[in-house]
Amino acid sequence: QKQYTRPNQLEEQVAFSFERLFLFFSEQNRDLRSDYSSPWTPVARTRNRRCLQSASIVNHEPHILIILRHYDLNGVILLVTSQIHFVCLISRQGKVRLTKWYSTYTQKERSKAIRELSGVILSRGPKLCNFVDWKGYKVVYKRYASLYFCMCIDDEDNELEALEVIHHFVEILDRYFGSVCELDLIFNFHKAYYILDELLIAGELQESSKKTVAKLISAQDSLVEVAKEEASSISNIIAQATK
Amino acid sequence: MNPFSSGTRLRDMIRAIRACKTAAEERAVVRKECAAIRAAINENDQDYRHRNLAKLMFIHMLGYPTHFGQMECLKLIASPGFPEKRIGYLGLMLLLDERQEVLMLVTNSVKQDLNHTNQYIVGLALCALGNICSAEMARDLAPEVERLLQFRDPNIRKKAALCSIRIIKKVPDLAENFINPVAALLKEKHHGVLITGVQLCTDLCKVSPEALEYFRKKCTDGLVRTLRDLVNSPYAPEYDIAGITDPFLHIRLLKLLRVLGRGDADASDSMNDILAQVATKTESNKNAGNAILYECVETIMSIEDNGGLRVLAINILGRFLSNRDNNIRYVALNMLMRAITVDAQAVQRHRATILECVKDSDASIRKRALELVYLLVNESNVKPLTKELVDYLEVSDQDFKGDLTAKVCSIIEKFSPEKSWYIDQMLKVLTEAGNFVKDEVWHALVVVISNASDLHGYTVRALFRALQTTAEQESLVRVAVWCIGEYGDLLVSNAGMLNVEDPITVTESDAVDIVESAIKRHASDLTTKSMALIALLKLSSRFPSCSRRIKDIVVQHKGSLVLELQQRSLEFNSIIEKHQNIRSALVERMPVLDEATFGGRRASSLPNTVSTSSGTAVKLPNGVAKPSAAPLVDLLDLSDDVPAPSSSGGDFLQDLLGVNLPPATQSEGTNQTPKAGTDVLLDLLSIGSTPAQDNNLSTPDILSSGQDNKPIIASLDVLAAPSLTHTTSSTASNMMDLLDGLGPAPPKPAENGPAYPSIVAFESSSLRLTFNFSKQPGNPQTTMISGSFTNLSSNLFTDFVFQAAVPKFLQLHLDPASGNSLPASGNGTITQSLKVTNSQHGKKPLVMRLRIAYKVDGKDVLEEGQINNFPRDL
Repeated sequence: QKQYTRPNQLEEQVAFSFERLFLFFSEQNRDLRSDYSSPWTPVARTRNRRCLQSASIVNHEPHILIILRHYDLNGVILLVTSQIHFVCLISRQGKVRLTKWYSTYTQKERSKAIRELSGVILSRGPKLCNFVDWKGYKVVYKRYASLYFCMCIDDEDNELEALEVIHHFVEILDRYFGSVCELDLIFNFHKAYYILDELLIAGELQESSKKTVAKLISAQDSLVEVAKEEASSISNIIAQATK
Repeated sequence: MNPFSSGTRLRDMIRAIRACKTAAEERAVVRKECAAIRAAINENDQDYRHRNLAKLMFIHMLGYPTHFGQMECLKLIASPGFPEKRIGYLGLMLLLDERQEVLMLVTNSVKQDLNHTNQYIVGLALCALGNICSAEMARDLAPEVERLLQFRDPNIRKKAALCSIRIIKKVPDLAENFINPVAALLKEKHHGVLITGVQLCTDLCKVSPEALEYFRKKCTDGLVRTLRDLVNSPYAPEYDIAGITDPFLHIRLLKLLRVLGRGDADASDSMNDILAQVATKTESNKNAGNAILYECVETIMSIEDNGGLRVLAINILGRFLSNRDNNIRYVALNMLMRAITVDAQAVQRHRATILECVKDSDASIRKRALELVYLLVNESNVKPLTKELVDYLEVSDQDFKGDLTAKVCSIIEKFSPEKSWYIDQMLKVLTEAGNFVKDEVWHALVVVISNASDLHGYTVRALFRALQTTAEQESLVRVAVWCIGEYGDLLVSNAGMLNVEDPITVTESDAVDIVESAIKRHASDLTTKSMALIALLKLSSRFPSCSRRIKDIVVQHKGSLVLELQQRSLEFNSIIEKHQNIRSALVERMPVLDEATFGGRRASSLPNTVSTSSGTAVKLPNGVAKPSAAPLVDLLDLSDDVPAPSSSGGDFLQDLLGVNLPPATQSEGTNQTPKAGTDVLLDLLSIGSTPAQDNNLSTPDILSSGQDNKPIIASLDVLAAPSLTHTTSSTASNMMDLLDGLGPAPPKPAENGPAYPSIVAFESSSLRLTFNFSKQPGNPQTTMISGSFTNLSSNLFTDFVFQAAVPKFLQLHLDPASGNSLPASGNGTITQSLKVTNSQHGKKPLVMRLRIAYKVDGKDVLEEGQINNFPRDL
């Protein structure tokens, strides 16, 4: 199933060269294949999008693969995707407190991903770096009290910035709940989702100002309050009328 | 409130679930809640719909199925109030994904909401669309989103911009529609809109070359100005992070500039100044600053070359690399990996630091560093780098050893300057991490060892020592056992001593001991044990004094439950016991394994490089590339008649090493004709009587030189023994009879089978072709035909080519002709041997068509004919 409908020669070339590259990978000595299996995933994914040209694949040197992961000879970026694929909050006990998926995953893949990641992340020591390679993606995580905030980004993305986004989110939560704790997020999980939706859409950052996010959330909260009051006043009226 | 309402509040449900002590309890609570929610759904309950959906979302998060609630989301979205819509859209995003068909039903509601008068409702719809829209929805709703890019409220504009990103990713065709509105967004002052506009612009450039061209022309200068203003902006509390105004916007602008500058010198030029400013002025003591620097370095590396800036960037990376913060070191390694394609020299300068990172306690850093080191290796630094890595192998984590070993082996193989170094390093790796070494790697090592004849003694002694200290590493044991079997005499005699090694005294029984221990080890797998048995067989001839003992060890496996071992044991036992006279010839040292062929084999498994291996493979007229080492393969493996060029190097060497186990043998036998003993005998003979190098042609030679043929074959039947190292069941049973003398006396091939009269297969005015037939015993289907051409004319025929064709039920195998020129008047002949296998033997007679081309006085002559007069029963 094609996701785009502009058949041109370039795409055919791309498909062809990916086939060759894939052959190269699967036929070449196996240690290489297993080593580079991780970058494979994004490359393979890109096949369905459109991007590079064929020339750069002729070379059989292993390091060409690295180049391929970035750009082809004409400087077209190979990896079209550059976004947050999912966000999840995992407690220290491995319980999921929030998950938000920006790329398409089946229910099965979702629970598998969370299971694998919590295994890896929860077992990492405190002094280690905040990045984990995972299936060709990078998962950036940061621990706040008993919660791990994880964010899965593309290999090309800026990990340090992802950390900053996580911190940004935590600060907004903190401001909203008033020194947020895990219980707040458990009982008001929907609120946490609302805040996240004001911060990220389609796996991209939407707002860099904490104040703006807070303002938007409180405006919507008050809309809900008003609606509730109206409803209760109406039901009061009805209740009184039926007495 | 409502006295008739059933069910609990959301808060109470969460509390109840949290109070559960066991998973079973939790399941019970969830089941009860789900039942209540289903009931409410069936009753079409209005009042508590949003509460039920909230509960479902929580249950969904715990991992329980909640598909029955999907329609509830749609109902809530369709309801008029904001609270209902808010929870409905949240449920839509959580419970559904773009593949569910239910999603199509929501398109209309979303469309209405995008046109709603309440901007928050528009915002909800945009958010949901941005997070889960499918390609179909994207097509349907793109015009609405495009219009919202000009909405009066900036908060809607930014949402619409991100929503557009999703749309163009799903349907790149729509990109053109967004180019103009985005150009307007880039001029905004509102940070949210600007950030999202820049992002949308970046994504547009990625999917559409036209967009890239457009923005490069129109917007580069404006973006550079925006970035400059941002860098120089005064303190802005709303956007300030660690003293930097809006690092997120910084990073996005840098990212877009990278896309615009790459591959375009003018655009790159216009952004040089601001990049230099960012690279030098940004504070690097906080994460936010480092994130900007990191992005800036990447942009500098990607845009068109500017020497000064690159130096600056590499220096920043150097600073990063020596940072104490693991995160910073991680990104530095990451970036150096990309920088290596730009400036390898500069990266080499940091080699020592990178090497330290391989030994870091952090798995993520180790992995990156190892990948980088792998890229850094070249001929000049391979020795010190390998030494470091091999030394580290000793102390590395178990779960890192696999990766590390693979990389080290690959480096050693690729860059080894000399054989002795290669062998040394591989031995070290085998000793430290033999269990992680892949089969191909130790196979390659064996090939190298067998080629380095001056190092045989050294290698076998080193392996012996290594095996004495550690017998835990499977592939070390295998290589050692193989070498001891082959070069056991050198081990005992201390022959070929190098200056660097310490002399050791190994007695014959020591050598046998160590091979025996390999068999007895419980951890040894079948391959190792089989190899050890062969080694023992070889040693039995090298060390006559231990022959008795070896026989005892071999006999112990007579009752092995593993068929392979049992068979080997029985066969080897009979060789040792009954065939003393030929044993030493049988177990002679293996001929040198051809490195080029092996390399070619490895390479030829790669379709693209088949041509590169053609230098080593000899092309025979029947179109089968037969590597020159093929007879060696035959020596050890009956079934490997025509080695399939596509089989992997591993198989090939496994054959050579005699570790080919039955399943593998069968799997490769798809296009093979059953072979009988004679052929193998001939192959064996060819090994023994001709130098290994040119024996690819020896088989046909022997066959075709008619008069010598018979006695040789006759004398050969006893020589069949070596083929018993093989397990191809059909032939092995045949051979067993020969060897053990259990059956009737071995039939002599030359006397066997009815004799067939010779025929004149073809005769023209100038040429005659006669066929002589012979059959192999036990294989009536196959006929060996020896054809001889006689020139009846008085002119010399040159460039003589004979071609034959047979119907499908026959299989034809043509060997090369003995020459291509035919002297005049019957003064010489060209002989040509053919092998025909008749799959319809007994039902259909042979039939063949032939075409003969040659030149007489430089003129081409072509003769064709059909042979129908084959003797019946062929």
